[in-house]
Amino acid sequence: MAGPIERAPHLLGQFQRPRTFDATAAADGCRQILWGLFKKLAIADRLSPLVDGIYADPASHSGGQLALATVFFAFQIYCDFSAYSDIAIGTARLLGIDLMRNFAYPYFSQSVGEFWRRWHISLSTWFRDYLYVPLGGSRVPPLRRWLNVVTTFTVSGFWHGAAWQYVVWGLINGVALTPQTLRPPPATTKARPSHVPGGERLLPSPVVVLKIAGTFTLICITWVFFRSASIETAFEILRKIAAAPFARADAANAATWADRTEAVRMSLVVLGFVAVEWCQRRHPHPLTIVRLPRPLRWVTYTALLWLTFNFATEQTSAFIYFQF
Amino acid sequence: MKSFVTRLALFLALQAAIFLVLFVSAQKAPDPYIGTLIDKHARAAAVKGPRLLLVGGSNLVFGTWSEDFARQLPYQPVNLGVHAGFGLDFILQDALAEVRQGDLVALVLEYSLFDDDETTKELWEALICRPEVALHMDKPRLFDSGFQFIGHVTRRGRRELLGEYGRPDEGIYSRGSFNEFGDNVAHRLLPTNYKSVRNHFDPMSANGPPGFKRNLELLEDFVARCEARGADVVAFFPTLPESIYRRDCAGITRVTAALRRILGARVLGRDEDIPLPEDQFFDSDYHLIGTAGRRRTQMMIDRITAFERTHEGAKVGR
Repeated sequence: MAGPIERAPHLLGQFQRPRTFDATAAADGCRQILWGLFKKLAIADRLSPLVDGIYADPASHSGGQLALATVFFAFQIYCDFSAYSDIAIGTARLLGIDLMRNFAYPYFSQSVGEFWRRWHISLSTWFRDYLYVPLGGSRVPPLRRWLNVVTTFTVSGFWHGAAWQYVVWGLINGVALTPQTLRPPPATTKARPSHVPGGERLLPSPVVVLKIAGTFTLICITWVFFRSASIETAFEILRKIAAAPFARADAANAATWADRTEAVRMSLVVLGFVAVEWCQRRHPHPLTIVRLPRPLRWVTYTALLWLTFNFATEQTSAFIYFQF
Repeated sequence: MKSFVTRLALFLALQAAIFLVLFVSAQKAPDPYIGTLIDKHARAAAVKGPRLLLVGGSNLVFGTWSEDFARQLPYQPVNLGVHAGFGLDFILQDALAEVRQGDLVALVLEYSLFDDDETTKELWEALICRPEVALHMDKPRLFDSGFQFIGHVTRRGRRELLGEYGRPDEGIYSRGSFNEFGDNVAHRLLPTNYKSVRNHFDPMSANGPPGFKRNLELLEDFVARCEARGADVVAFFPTLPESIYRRDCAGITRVTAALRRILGARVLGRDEDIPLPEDQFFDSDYHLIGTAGRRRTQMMIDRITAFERTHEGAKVGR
């Protein structure tokens, strides 16, 4: 269930039609696999011990450490989850099969609604089509529409596990969509907003930056519930973060974040990763650099591959979504 | 398709060449401790005549006086022990490469080896020193950890190429601290440091993990191959501090029972050999201080001598 969760009409038809080898698709599939490997081995697996160390004992850590660990978790789960999809989609393209896109730069979303149109797209659309729409979808009065949204998200929380923190996670997401849910649906078909997350400009306006940052913060709050061992722990973490979000480790807990150098290093890696994704957000994946001359492209692929190996941890961890 | 495959093959060939450069760089500066593997195998190759091959982890490094074996037994000792982190598969395959007719193979295997199923960076270091052993190991398991191995070689090779490696070859855990037989001698006169040990081996469960059965199969295969080459195999039980022995008694009994099942009368170790007071250990759960190691060596000599006597008698009686 890690996705992409394909629909039978889209997938089965491809098996039945004769396929010919498409070198362009295959090459792009290889690039997508490489990008997935980088996200999994060099980012997600390296963030995992940093997050585990803090979330295993939140009482011993400062608000600042908890806040940073939450941001790290946001990127750990994104890189881990989207890497799996990238590798699956890239591999399928090698075989001439087209799988649906599952992640479309969700952390550049300017609202929670947009986030859920960009995160685990295959599962979100599945819940939309098989739960939200049968409940009435958008064609009902606003309050009923709101209930449908909250119900759909709560059920998706249950899907992740029979634990209350997942249910609360789903519920919060449903409630966070309230402003958009209660807004009347558009009466006419207007020009579609740009499909490029964050807008077309390389340097976004301050309003866009605020919207992206605000959405990311809201999503991180929901991730606290997703990652915590219990609801009580989640509230305790949020309380500490709210009280002192930039508090550094004090003498009592200074030693508990075992490798500060690694935390600083990974902060820089994550920033670099965000910069690359931002610059390449027009493309399905950032390694779409076909306009560059081949020698330069090969240097880029080679550098990324060996950077991935260099950063790979001594022991890999299973994909997060395998537990679901 | 032809053009795609050609370009892909060229790209992969380029990466393979880069990997080779990194691997050779890493080989030029082996880990100061794990690099003793090279010296031990050089000795094994140089020694003529029947040899006593000591097979296990670092319990053999810190707890053996091979010069006593050389004086009292009709075998030339070769201590192949280095690190339990190599895993049972590597340790057995690495030793098997040396076994020849007339040898006596003495297994002194850490109990945790039978439960462990993970690859470690120590194994990657060992494969940098002796890559040929990988050809005989469990391929699917190695392949599963392939990225980790390539990553380890990348980091080591990169540091060597940039002159950053710089791990000093000095101190107890270095090649210079070993004698010609493969024993660590630098620690022999040092007192116990056991009380400061923080990282003990993980507790062992009474029922083995899934890897236990597979590891027993590896051992059975090893014993069969040794015998096919005309070598004898015996087994001893490594010693542990009393507190650790009490903690893991069920798991240890599981291992010793399995060894008895596979080797029968060739198990020369006894349960009472295992627990010793903590002050007999140097710096870890399996590392004996000098005097305790000497006593253990003498015990092994006595049992091997008795075994050879009955063994020869059994051979003559056939």
